[in-house]
Amino acid sequence: MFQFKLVLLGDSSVGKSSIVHRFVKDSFDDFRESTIGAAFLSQTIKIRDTSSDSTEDTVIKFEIWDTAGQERYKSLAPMYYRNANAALVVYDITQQDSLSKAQNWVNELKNKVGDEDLIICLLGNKLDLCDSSDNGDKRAVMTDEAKVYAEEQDLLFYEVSAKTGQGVKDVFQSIGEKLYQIKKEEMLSKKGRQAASAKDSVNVKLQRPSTNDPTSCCY
Amino acid sequence: MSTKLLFCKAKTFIHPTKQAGDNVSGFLIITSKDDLSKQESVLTWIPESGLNRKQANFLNAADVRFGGSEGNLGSSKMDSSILIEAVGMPWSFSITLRCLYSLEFRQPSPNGWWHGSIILHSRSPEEDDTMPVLFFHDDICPSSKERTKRLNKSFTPFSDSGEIYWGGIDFRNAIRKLVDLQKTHVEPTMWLVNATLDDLRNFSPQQLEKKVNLSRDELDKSKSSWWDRLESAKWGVMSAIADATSKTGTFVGGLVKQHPLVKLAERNSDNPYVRKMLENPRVQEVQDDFDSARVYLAKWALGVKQQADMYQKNHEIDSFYRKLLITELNFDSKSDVQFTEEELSTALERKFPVTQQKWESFFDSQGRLSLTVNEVKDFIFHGGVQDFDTRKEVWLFLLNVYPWDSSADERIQLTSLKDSYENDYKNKWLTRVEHEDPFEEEYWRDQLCRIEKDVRRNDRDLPLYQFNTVDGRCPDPQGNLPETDENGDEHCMELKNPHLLALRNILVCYNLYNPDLGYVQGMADLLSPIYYIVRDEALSFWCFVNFMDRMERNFLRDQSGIRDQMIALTELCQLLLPNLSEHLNKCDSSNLFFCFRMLLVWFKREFEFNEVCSIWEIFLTDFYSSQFQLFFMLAILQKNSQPVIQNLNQFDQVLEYFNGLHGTMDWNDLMTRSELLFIRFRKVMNVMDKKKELNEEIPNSTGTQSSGIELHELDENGNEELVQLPSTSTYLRSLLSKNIVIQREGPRTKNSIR
Repeated sequence: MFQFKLVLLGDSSVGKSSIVHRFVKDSFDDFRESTIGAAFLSQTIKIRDTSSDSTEDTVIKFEIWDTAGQERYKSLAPMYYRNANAALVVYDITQQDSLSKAQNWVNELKNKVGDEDLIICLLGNKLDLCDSSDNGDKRAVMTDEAKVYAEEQDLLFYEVSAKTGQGVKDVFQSIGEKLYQIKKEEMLSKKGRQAASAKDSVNVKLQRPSTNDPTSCCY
Repeated sequence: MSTKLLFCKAKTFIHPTKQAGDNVSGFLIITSKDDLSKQESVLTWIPESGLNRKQANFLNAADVRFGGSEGNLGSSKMDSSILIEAVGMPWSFSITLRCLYSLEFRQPSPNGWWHGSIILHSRSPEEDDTMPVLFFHDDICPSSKERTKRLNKSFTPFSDSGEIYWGGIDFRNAIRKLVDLQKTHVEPTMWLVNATLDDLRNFSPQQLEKKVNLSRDELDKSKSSWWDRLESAKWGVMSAIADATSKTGTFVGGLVKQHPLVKLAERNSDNPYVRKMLENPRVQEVQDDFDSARVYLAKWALGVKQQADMYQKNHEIDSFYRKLLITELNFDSKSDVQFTEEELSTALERKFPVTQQKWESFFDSQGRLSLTVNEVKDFIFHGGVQDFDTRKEVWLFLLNVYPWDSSADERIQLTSLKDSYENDYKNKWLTRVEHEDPFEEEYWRDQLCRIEKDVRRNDRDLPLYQFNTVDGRCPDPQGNLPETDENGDEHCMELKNPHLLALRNILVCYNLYNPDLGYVQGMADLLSPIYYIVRDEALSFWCFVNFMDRMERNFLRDQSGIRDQMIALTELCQLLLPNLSEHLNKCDSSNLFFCFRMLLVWFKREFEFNEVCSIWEIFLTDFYSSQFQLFFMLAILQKNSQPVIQNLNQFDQVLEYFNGLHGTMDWNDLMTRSELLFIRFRKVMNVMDKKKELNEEIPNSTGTQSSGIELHELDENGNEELVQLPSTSTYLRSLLSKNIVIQREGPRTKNSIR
């Protein structure tokens, strides 16, 4: 089993916790309390490896860190996103402002983490408020606008609804597949160099080594 | 000013001599004056012979009325002339309830050998001698007969407390509605009135062992100042036999056990119905005197034994817990810093909650505190507040809206606070005009939006905040949850619930009150319990303002306030939990960042709402330290140190572990540990100070020899610098202070708006 660390970032009440709960518990609460500090959840998914001969699915486990959104707590975020393999940067498609906050997060991740293997996914939430024609469309961020930005920045991009569940599983599935792909390539190249040592790759923890001083970014 | 009759019992006797013919019959009544507190109610005994026919009829009717009212006593107006005349009557006496020290309730014997009686003890010794023992002649008292009849009809000859009914129980139920009445563990017949914590601690089971051998003799001596010596002697002999029987199963015990009824009782000892039947006085009445005495003894023995077993069981758990705490918190028996028995007992006995009666007993007739603030805080710290209505008032004091030295009248005058809230803040907000600076305007709108978003999702599982309706009630009486509105999104709905609106209003007004800070996530969490308890928008606002004085440091933009607390906690941890501290170092977690949420909103997310209220009111007393939350946090660390040391070795794991503690912790246990950790900390600091002084006095002396005082667990690790730490650390020193730490947000600039 592979294990990956994933972190959610984004402005307050764009639906970070709701997305995680939809994915992990397949539930939705209209009044989920605000996140203070961060919340931790984990969930496993199965990946079908089409290129390999094996018919068995590979199981990967996500360790998900869901963070507080308000900017006042921004200085704490590095504690959570350090060592992350993937980041979900969430905005609310009914709030134009939340996209620019998301873009700030993307910049910060690129500058501070600076890891090419870090997968960043831009995620527009609250799709349920936009699709139904009879209730009036509340959309404030056009799909194309976000999509163009995501392509420029080389991000994964999805629009989802934590409330209806639309698209949520797909996001984690595709992130999982991508992480698995990266991992496999890493292992293959390692195999190329050291043919013998790759056998023990099962149950490897994929977290990056911790830095020595976790407070460096906080205080 | 009219006099109200709150309680009346006819056929209460005093027995001036051994001769039944000399017995004097009278009425035991409790009266109150309209405008005085319950504590000022007066207990009076009036001889029947001194009353005229009209007066006697009135009281007899009252007795019957109370007897028929299922113990729900109510009150009725009374001609105060009865009380005035009573003063001159022979044998009569009266005492204000707040002057009572204790009451003894001595049950009647089921076979009628003797009547039930009460002995009143006054706070002033002189008065004590003037109050005779009162005997309840239930066999001729109309109200007692009526109650007995009713209870027997329903096959429950017991009062609510599980005792066999007798007239004294009516009296006890009446008086405990007026004053705080606590049963003592040492002497089950003895009840304390408005007991101080010292009294309660002295009468607690921990003290029982020392006193149990003495108490009977002492009490017998002290109460025999009247001619009820004979009664007392009988009572003493019976209880002594019962004790002996239960303990040793001697000859009398063997005799008793042969009795058929006892055998029946033993065979059916699990059957509560049979037990109740056997305890019914009527069942026992059918036996002849000798037999009934044996049954009575057997029952008594059984009861005493049960109580003894129960005590032993509790005591064993207690002493087990004691030993556990000593080993876990004292760490090392070689340590010079040990807990005294008294400190342990004080921390362990968190069992005397502040009831409404208790709270009222703290105040004099003007509604001014008659105890010191520290005594009151001791009560709150060690017992908590029991009921909701009392808690509201206590919190108004704890949050400094009511000054501790105010009178009831002065507190009523505080309505000016309400005006100030309405005029200075709420109106200012409602009549606010758009700011000319678009940047400021955007900021303001953003603040409103953030507040509303957080209020909307605040504690919505509590009934008070649950339904977004104008009256806050469930819109569908069938209990179905309301469908989302026509827009299909709860988050777009207008706020309607009056309590949610109040939370929003208070937070918006606080934004005007403290414009530099702004709204920060977590502040809604801090307001919610306050409003829940106070239930008044304006008063809650001022409570919140005062609360934020100490909590503002948690929300500063540069996080310096929360950082200071984490540093203090880190040093505390190094000092008191060195093993854990060392391990956290290895896990990259020595900054204790994982405590962030718990410290930020004072454990609100880790405990149930009611538990949070109990924890906060203890913190708010500042009884030991204004930063007691850090000792509570330390107790959580201490409690979890074994699993953490054994199983976790990475930053993320530690964070995950402490994030997942929600709903798994016993706050009472943690509070006991917190208190002991604080006491230990204070002692360590004292030792450090002494050591420092010694070193200064003898400049040449170095190291261990001169100090004479060693902290073994520190020295064994060879960490000399740790020893240096406490006396120099301002963080640690600040923990000894009871004054709250105030750290304010700096002026807001355009770069720091959110």
